[in-house]
Amino acid sequence: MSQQSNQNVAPGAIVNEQQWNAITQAIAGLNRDQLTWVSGYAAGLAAAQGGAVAPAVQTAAPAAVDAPTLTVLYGSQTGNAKALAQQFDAQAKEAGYGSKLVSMADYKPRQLKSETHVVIFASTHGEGDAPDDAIELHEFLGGKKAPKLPSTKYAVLSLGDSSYEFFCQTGKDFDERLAKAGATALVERADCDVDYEAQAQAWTASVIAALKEDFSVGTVSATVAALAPVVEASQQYTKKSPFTATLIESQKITGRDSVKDIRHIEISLEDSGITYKPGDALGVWFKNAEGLVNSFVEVLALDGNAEVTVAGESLTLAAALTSKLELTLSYPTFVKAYQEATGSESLAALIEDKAALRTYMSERQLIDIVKDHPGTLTAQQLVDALRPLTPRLYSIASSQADVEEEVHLTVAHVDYEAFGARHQGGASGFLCEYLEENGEVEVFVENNDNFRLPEDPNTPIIMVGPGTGIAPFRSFIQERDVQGAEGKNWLFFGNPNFTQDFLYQVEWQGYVKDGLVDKLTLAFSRDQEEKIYVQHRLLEHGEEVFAWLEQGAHFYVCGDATHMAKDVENALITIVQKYGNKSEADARAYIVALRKAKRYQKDVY
Amino acid sequence: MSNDQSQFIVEGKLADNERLKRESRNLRGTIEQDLKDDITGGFTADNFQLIRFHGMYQQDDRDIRAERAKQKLEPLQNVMLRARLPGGVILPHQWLAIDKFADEQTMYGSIRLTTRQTFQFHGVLKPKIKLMHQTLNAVGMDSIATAGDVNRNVLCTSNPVESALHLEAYEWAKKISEHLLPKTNAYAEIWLDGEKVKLLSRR
Repeated sequence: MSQQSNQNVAPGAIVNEQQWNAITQAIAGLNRDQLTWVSGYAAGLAAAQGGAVAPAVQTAAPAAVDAPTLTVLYGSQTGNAKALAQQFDAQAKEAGYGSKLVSMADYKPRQLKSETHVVIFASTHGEGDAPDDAIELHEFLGGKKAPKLPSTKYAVLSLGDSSYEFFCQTGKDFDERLAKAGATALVERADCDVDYEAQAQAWTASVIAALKEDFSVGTVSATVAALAPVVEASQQYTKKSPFTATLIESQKITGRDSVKDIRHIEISLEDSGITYKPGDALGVWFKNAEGLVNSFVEVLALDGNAEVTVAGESLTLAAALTSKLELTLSYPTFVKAYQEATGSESLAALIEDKAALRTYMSERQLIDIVKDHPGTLTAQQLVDALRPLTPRLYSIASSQADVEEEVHLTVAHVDYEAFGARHQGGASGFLCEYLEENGEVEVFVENNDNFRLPEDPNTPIIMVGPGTGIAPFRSFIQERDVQGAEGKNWLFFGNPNFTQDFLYQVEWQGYVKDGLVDKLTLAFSRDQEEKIYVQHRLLEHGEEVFAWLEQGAHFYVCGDATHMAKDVENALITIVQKYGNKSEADARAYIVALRKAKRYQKDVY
Repeated sequence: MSNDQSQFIVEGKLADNERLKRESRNLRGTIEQDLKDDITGGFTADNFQLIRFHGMYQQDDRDIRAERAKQKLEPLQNVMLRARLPGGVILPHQWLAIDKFADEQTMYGSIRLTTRQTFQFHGVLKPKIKLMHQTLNAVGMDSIATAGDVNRNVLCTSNPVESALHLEAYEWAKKISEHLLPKTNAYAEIWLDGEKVKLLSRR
C-alpha cells in the first residue's frame, strides 16, 4: 500500500468519519519508515488491549520464493545479550529488513538450514560456558548432526569478561562452528568486554550496512510485526542513565562470630516509578574507596589533582579513579598497558607465561600488581591503562508486591587481608562500608526473564540457594505470600554455621510456621566433622525431589557457578537416574527437557 | 501442734507445671520432634519447661539478643545442664570425660562448679545435647530431675574417705537422690536411644 492509496480508502465500518479524519491528519507527512513504525505501534496497542487481535497488516507483496530471511538469535544469561539483540532487531526492522527475534531456547536447531541470514548475540559465563538458553543450539552446531549451511550468511557478537580465562568462548564457538558448516561471515565477529556499549553499537551499524545489499527493497518479505515500543519504554532508568536512589539501611545479617560478612541492603526507589519482578537483578554503580584511590596515587607518585581525560571528559586523576575506572578486579589488558607504559621487565617476563599470569592475577587486585612492579608513568597513561568502571549486578532479594518502592539486596562484603594490606570488593565495599544511610547510589533494574516464578501460582517450586544465593528466593516467597499462591515451596539453604550464617532465619521460621514454606532443608557445612552442602541434602531427599519434579515442580538454583551449581546439577542427574529408573543419558535428557520447558532455571555467578 | 492437716492443703488453682507434667506423657512431651527440628536452636511450647525435668534450662546470650534481632537471627539459644551428683562426688575418669566434653563441644569451653555440690555445662547447642547425655551416661552420670520443681541435687558433708560416718552419709545421699527420681524411662528413651541409665548404686 502506498501513501496515496491509503488516503483514498473509504473509512468503512471500522472507524467513523471523525476518527478517520483524525487518523489521516496525524499521519500526514510521515515518511515510509515512520508509517511502518506507526502501524506496528498501533498493532502493539491493540495487542495490549487484549481480545482477538487482527493479524498484522501485510505491507508488502507476498514474499518472493527465495526472499532472504533475517533471524536474530540470542543466548543471554543476565539479559545483556538479549538487550543488544532487541536493539539490533529494532534497527533491522527500521531499515525494513523484516527481522525475527528469537531466544535460542525457543529456536529449533534444524530450522537453521532454511535460514539465509542469521545474526547471533551470545554471552559467556563461568568457565567459558554457554548461557542456559544457548546450550542446546551450541551443542547441536558442535555435534555430529551439525547441518551444512553453504548458503547461510551470519554475524556473531560475543559478550564476555576479559578477566576470565575463556573470554567470549561461546561467541567464538558459534563463529567457528558456523564457518565450519560452510556459512559465510557478513562481518568479523566482535568480542565485547564488560564495557561493551560502544563496540556493540559500531558492530550493529556495520551489520545493518552489510545486510543492505541482500535486503534491498522489493525482495523483502516485510511482515511488520507488532512492535512494542510502548512496552520497551517502560523502564525509564537504564545502565546508561541510572536512577539516583538512597540507602535506607545496610545491616549485617551474619552473627558476630561468623566467618562471613553478609549484609542486607535496603534501597529506596521512591518516586522513580521503577518496577522490577522477582528474578530481576539490580545494577549498582559504585565509587572506589578513597583509600584505594590514594594508594594508586601514592605508589605511583602521581598528583591526584592532575588533569586527565576519560572518554572525552576532562577531570582530575582522583575523580577519574574514584568514579570512572575499574580499580579492583584485575584484568589482563591493564597488565599489558601498564607494562608498556612503565617498561617493567619483571612484568614483561610474567606476561610471557600466560598460565602463570592468570594465577598471579587471580590472587591479586590491581593495586597488588602495581605494588609488585612499581614503575613510572603519567596520570593519563594510568587512566588509559584502566578500563571503565562497570556496575555490579545483584539478584534482588525483595518483591515489590511486599516492599513497594524499596529494593533489597543480599551482599557478601568482600573484605580480607592479603599481601600486607586490607582488600575490599569495589561494589560490596561501597555498599557495605562507605555508603552512609541516606547516601546516594545510582541503580537500574536488569531484567532477567531466565529466572522467573512459574506463571501458575499452583505450581510447586524447589529453590536451591546457599549463601547469598538465597536472595531471589526471598523475593519469590514474598511474591507468593502476597499472591496467596497455593503452590508448594521447598527451599534448600546452606552456609558455614547454623548459629552465625542462617540468612534471614526469623523470616524463614515465620514462613514455615505460616505454612507458606512447606519444606526448609538446611546444610551447614562446618557444624560437623564432614562438610555437608546443599547437593548432599538434595541427594538425601532425592526420592521426594523427584516426586516434586514429576508433579511439575520448577527447580531453581542461585549462587556460586564454579562449584555449587555444577554439584547441584550432578545431584539432580543422579536423583532422576535413581528414582526415575533411567540411564544416565535419559536422566540428562530429562534435565534438558526441564530446562527447555523453563522449569530448570539458574541465576549463578 | 494440732493434728489438723488442712493447713498443708493449698486451695485454688494448681501451678501450670502440674498441667504440664500431667500432659507430658511421663515427661516425654514432644522433645524428640524438637530435636529433629533444625531450623531453630530452641525448644517449643511445653518442651521449653519439660527439659528442666531432664536437667536442662534453655538459655540464650542476652548480651547479644538485640544485636541478633537486627541480624534477623533468632537469639543464640543453647542449654545449660546441671549434673546429678549426690554429695558432689566425682571420680577422676568422670572428670576427664566432662572436661573433654566441655572443652570440645560447648560454646564457652568451661565446666562450672556450683554451691549445690555439682557442676554445670553452659552453652550447649541443640545438636550436641544427645552427645552430652551419652557422654555422662558412659561414665555413670546423668542429669535427671536436677531442675524444675523437684529436689535437684542431694547434698551431704561430702568427703567419704574422711570417716566411716561420712561414707555412710554419702551412701544415703545417693539413695535419697535415686529414690526421688521420677518414675519414667523418658530420659533413657530420649537421650540415650533407649539404653538403660547406669545408676551409681547399681554399677
